[in-house]
Amino acid sequence: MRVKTKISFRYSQIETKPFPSSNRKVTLFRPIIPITILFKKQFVRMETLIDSGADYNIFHGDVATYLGINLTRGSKRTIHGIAGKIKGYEHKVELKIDQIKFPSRITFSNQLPNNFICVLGGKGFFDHFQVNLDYNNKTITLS
Amino acid sequence: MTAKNWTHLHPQYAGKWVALAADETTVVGSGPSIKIAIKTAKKKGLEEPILFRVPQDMYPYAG
Repeated sequence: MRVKTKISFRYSQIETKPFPSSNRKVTLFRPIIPITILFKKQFVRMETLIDSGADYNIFHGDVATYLGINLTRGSKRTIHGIAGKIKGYEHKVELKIDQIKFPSRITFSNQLPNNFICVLGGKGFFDHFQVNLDYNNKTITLS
Repeated sequence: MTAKNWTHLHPQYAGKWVALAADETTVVGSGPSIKIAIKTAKKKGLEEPILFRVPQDMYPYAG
């Protein structure tokens, strides 16, 4: 499925330190967009990072708990990343972005690190949209 | 287009769930869980806030 409309979002501006003991602040911009996750009659709206390097949509296990999803009843997944690997469980959900609702899948995990931001990845997001990340103009466009 | 300014989220809400208003910037609730963040937002009259888990540490990131 490809959508026929264009939806635009703004980047998020954050401040980081280049390393923990530094007094210097570095301003960065991340492509984080609001989405709605629906499961049966429950839903939650969330800010999520668009991550073209992620193969799946990956979310904190807390989100599954809130939606009433029995985490370990999903399909087992092992996700490898820059800091090692984690175990998760994939579940069928619906996603809504602006007015566009579509079936998708999310891998939920309770093993994600403290600095993890829920991500939208290849299967279940990029296969539904053409994504334009315009860092210089701080604009994200889905079409 | 101007970016959403989230520089106020860290370190004040580090490691917490925050509930944001429709402008995606104003914090209307927060807490250690999604449920508590939404509950505090609802007390302020916002029924469907947008949730975000603020990273514990805010350093340059690669997924």
